Amino acid sequence: MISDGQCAHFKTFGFLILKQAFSPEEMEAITRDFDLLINAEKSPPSDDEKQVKHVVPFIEKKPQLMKLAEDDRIYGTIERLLGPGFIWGGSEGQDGRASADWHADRPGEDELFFTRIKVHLYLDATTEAFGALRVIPGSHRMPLHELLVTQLLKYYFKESATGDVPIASNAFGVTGPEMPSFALESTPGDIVLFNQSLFHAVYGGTGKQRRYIALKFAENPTTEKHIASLEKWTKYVFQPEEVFLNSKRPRIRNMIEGVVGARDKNVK
Amino acid sequence: MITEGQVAHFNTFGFLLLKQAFSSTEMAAITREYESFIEIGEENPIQAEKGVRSISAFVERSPQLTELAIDDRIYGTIEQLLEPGFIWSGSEGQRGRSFASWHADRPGKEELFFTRIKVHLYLDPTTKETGALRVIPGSQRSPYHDSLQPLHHYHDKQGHEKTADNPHPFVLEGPEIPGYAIESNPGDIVFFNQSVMHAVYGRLVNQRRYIAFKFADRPTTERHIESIKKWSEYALHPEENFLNSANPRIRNMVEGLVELA
Repeated sequence: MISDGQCAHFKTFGFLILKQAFSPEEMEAITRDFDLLINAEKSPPSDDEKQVKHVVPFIEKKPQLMKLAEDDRIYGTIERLLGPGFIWGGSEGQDGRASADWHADRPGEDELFFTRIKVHLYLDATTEAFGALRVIPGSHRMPLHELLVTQLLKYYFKESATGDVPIASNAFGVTGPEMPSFALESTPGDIVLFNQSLFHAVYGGTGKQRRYIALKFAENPTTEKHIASLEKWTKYVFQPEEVFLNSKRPRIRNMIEGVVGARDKNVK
Repeated sequence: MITEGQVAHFNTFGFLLLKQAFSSTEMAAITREYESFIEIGEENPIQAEKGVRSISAFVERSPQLTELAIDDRIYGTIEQLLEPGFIWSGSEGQRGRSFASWHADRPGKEELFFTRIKVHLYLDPTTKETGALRVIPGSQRSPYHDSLQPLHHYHDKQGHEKTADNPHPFVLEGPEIPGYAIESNPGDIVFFNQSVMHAVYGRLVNQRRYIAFKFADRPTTERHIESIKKWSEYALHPEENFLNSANPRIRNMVEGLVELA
């Protein structure tokens, strides 16, 4: 159970780290399952140059990993942050990526009314210089969010049009890694949770493993705008995996019932 | 002349770092001048208790340091960041401080309508762990500024000490608050909005000397004047040598201030 102070941290800064929430033994087991699953995938790296392996959906394929979605340390935390009726938003397994320029997964003022949280469970240590998730604290809210969207988009398109490397962060007279931000350095066992409207990036480090499991959640979609936003960004949430659809586990059922309810509203 | 991107940086994040704006030769001369004046004058007694030497109206004491206030790299930058007609709001010379918990110099929603900028010219290197100014980027605007007030209240109430009935805001020690350290070397210029939340932590590995220059939008309303009177009454009483200066930039900055007082 996270504290009121931790809730305030998430709401104010848009992220939260739970240090050493999982023991080394637990992480060892999770890592074993991760490796089995990611190595079994036939899909080639999504980007040969960056040697990224990205598998979606991920935890739904392995009963042991599925337990993470309903584990108190994750589910219980999400319950406190999103409130009742939150839904399952899918999962990912990723290996190898150590660079992503500044962006928000759900950018724009129109998206800020509907909170979506991504949970990263890193299987390798990350540092500011090597692949830690960097965030701009507080950028999940107006007006900082919109100032970033406006300036980054303006420069992104300008630079792309001239054929330059589209380093969006030149918009502020600094390179991407120089943007004023906070690196969520973590070691295996930590849980990183962030609002998907928060601006984030990853820089530094190649040639080392940077494995993580991502779990996604969204607050209870109650309006047409919520449903339209899910439709726009994550259509796949309306088609949960069979194993989740048929699950008898109360927590999984709760999350999926919300999805099914939203899907029915969408169909209507 | 700073770029449009740098202006956007200041407006978005509430601070700007101009790296190596002054050469090492210039910094050597500035440091010499600083040393000639830092031991002279009445120091701030509150700061002195903490082992910090802080002298106000510092720049005004030296013609050479006064030149910095009208130097293109400082004045020209301020001209791009504040509205036309901005005013001079005093200066400081400081030595020895390596700790200040999270606060804003001009805190509260009601202060954000009126931009005031402080410029730090550090004479010694600073790093995150050795006294660099840490800021919470973007915290000069509401509602982010408001939601960070627990940090400021903590600073005010506890005099930097944690107590059982007043735990750390966000359940974090001050140095763990997700801020950004503006690490700098002599020759760099740090500009920050005085409503941005900032702090200093770490060890004092050198003297951590700096010269501070302060500027503000020209007060045009009763609220502006009230705010100046509340936080920096001295700004309405510039030093005689500034009031009588023949330099057009200094004249522009101090003109009309005495009348406002």
